Amino acid sequence: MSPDARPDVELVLPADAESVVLARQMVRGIVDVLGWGDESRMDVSIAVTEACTNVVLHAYPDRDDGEYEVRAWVGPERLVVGVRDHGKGFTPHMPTPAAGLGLGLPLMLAIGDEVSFASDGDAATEVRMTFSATSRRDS
Amino acid sequence: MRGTPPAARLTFARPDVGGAVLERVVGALGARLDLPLDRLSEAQMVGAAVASVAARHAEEGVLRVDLGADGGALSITVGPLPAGAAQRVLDESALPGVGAVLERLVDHCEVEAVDGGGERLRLTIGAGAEATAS
Repeated sequence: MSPDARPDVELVLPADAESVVLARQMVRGIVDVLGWGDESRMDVSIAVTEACTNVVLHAYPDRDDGEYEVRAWVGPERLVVGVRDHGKGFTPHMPTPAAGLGLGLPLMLAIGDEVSFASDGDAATEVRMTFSATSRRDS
Repeated sequence: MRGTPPAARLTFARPDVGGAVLERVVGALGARLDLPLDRLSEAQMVGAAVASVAARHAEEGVLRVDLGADGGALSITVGPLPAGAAQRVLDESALPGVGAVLERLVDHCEVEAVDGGGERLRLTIGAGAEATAS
């Protein structure tokens, strides 16, 4: 499961509030296939929801046609999920009321085995999270 | 989709994973449209069947499915597929005594030509209407 390999699943979504539930259903479906159980399904779902919500709220402040990609690399023991946008990218500290409690990044860090942030020359920013069936128990 | 951007574009290389994802995403879009429960369930069956059958015909093993939720109907557009593959997908969804499941479950299905060759299979599922195939 090389990080440069083609993802097993990719979902491209418009950066609007309604899209987040679709991303959540995507990762729930993957965790079902992996057979990881309810707690893992919930954890992965929460972390991906936070990453997608951040994109929806902050990646495209001046556009309403922005899109983002949720990509997954699925291994028997490990699930890697990337949330990539082509806008302003990840903003861990969000002072606006719309940012809610600001728990997104801490939640992702608490739930994932690994969380990384990357930008490339295509002006894309990606949050990439690695999960296993025992992510939270091992942390 | 025709003028309306898709609500989601799904691409997958693994039919087992893609099928589970497609079934769930289709269910969420159907719920957004307030489809009746029986149609929601049938839409999910269509999603799972599409992932399973169409993946056999996908170019280089990667299948693309565009999903739309517009005008009260859910659209599932599969492809691009090689020429002739869309009809094979419909035919291969047949079950003994039931017939072509995909055509039976959707309101409308059609094959669209793709510029440069190949085709797409477009399936539409609404609140309920007599199934037709063209």
